[in-house]
Amino acid sequence: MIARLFFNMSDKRYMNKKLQQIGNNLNVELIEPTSVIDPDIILSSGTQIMKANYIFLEDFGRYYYINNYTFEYERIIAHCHVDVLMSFAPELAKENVIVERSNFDTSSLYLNDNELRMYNYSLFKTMELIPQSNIHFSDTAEQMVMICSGSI
Amino acid sequence: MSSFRSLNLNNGQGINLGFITSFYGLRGYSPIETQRPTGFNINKLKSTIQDKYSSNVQSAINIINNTSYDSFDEANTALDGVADTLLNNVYWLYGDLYTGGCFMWSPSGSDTVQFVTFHGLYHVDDLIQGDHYDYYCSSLNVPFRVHANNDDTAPIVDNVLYFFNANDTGENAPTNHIFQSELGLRIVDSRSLGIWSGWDKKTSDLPERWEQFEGYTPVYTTAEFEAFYLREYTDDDYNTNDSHPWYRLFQTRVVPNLSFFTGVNVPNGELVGGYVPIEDSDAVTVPDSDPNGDSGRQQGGDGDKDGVGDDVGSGEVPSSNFLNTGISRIYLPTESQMTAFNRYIFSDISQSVVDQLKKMWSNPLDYIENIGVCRLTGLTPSGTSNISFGGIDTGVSCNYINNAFIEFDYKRNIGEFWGNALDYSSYTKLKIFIPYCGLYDLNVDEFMINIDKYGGCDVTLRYRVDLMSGMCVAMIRPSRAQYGTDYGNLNSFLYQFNGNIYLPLSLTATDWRNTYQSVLGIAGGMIAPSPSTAVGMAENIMGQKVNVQHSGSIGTNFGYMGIQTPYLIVERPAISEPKLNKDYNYGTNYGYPSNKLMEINNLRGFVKVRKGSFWGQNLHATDEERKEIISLLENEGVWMG
Repeated sequence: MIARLFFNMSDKRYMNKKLQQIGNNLNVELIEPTSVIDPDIILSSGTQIMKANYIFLEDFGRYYYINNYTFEYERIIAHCHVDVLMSFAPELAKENVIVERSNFDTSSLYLNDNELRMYNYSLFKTMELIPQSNIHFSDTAEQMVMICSGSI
Repeated sequence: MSSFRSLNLNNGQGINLGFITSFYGLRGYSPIETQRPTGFNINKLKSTIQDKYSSNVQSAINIINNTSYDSFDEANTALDGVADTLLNNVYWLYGDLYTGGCFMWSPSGSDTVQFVTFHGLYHVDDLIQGDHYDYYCSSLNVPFRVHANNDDTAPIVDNVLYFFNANDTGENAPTNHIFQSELGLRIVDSRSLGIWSGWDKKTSDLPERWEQFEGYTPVYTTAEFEAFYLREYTDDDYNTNDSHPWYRLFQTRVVPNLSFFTGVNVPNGELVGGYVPIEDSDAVTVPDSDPNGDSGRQQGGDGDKDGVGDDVGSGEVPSSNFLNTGISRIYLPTESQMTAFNRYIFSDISQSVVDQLKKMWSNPLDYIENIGVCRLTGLTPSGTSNISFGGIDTGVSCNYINNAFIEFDYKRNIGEFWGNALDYSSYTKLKIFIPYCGLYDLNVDEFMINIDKYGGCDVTLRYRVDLMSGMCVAMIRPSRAQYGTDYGNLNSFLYQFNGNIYLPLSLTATDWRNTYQSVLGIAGGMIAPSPSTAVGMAENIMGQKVNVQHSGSIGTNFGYMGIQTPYLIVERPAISEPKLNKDYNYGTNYGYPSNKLMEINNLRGFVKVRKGSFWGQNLHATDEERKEIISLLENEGVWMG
């Protein structure tokens, strides 16, 4: 089976990984029975191999994280787990989803955000209302009013 | 000349670009979210910089003096002239240079490179630091630093003050290049931002970068500009090993889907206002957190969706025609007029008159229905006449008023502070103090709206006063737009409170007793503000806050002694967000709430998907792989490059 070894520089959460290929394409064998999700791959020894943490198996059409290496006689066995994001990135890209959280431009800050953290203090602001006419209350005013009946 | 005054935008017309020092197409660039600066003090920044780097300033001046300019001021003035003539070529979709916002600019002439110049003279060096490139620019006025990871995911463009000492011989020692600043923003496609900086006036060591701009014919570019604010960074923030402090002055970010309008027919290449939707209308939105920007807003069921209501006004002031009958008259005595009246009552009135009145009434003062004092100013008398009561002319001249009811307004415009959900209940609380009525809770949701986009909310407090009794009604109206176009405006009086504005005066001891009994009786009946009920989510810290009563009864003579100015009290939560740096910011790494239905391909940065919304119809994956994908999308979140 044709394989390509990579050094993956991206976090697992990246859909598209940033990869640096290590060496040329390889012929590898699988330890059978194998799994498309967690295959164990037999590699020939080589100084470059141990630098790889990521592998693409052409027949499976999938990218894999190399979780661990074990050694058996002359063989190096890479224990892998499928990277579902990178492997299915083109198909995932066409999917429609309802976004729960996202970057600034595709989010709404007016939706309730239970993840926001707030200090335990509050910010206060007082704002005076402005009189709109000559009639208003005044600290200096003293207007007497008297109502009399029978004021003909 | 103020070194900062010279910071202007232009599109570069008339400036010989010279050599471009660097260019990186930042595919997958994700705009960052920071708090928009308010109240930035440019003078304070300037003095801070000058105090801290006065020796460097002199060094830079010396360097510049070696160029074709005779002085820094001359150089700066020359550059100012170029910048000012081109300032109008930048169109601000919202905001401005000094408060931040979103701007759009067009290329000039036959330039295939569009750029904006943030004007200044710079001292530039470039370094490679670990896995990213740094471009250090120092300046007398507006320095900046373009920082980019060398992969395609750089999330940030910082414009940072970084001062080199020209005599520095350390590893970061500059090569004494003198640059005119140019923060170039170059759109490769709708999602990619190219950035370059610097105009090397002395060397030609980086001409090859120019080639990367060839072949593009941009039409319009839009970028969001985080205007001036000062934030000091340590070296750790930028993973540098030098000892120079950084001051971030502003950030610039491209606006995805709003950035580049291909195929737009712009007459003569002139700038046009607004922005032009292309291809995907849903995507062309100003990323200003429009609450209606989500695709599924308020869909609901079969309701009539008629959200436009009626304006409930305060009605007409009651008629005062009964005063014309002479049954009562409202006098507005001055101090001297009241003195004269008192003299008449207690000294001058003849015993015969009293005896005559006592035949008809038990007490002549029964003709005086009410007498009090208030702290109103601006009452306009209708005329002057002698005070008369019970048909007796006292001969005391006095102002009178023919309106038994008066009305007057107070107003204040308020709006959002954070520009997000925290400006609303139950995070933000709003109270109003109404003289003579008390302090009351208002529903902040009725009064809150964004100021920039919707003009805020005019809070009107309308008093209607019965001058016969001093009783008043205080009515409160929010006047504002509502989010969305289908809901009209809110412009109705929603609150009414009552009180009494008179401090009662009495002519006899009996009256005083009655007065105080009356006062106490009224006070007992006044509505005291009730503590707000804590309503909200479990996470709502504000909902757990103690809400104390700020005021009791403020009627009658209590109000007379109290505060005479109505005012609002806004209590807001204070947001805590992780500090931004080159590798992490809250918005791009952790995300904000969204409720949009979108194709994954159109998303950038951190994405978390609503549970159950991913169907994977196009997916040729095993069931176990599907479960893992769903788990990543729904629980952990993924990063779309």
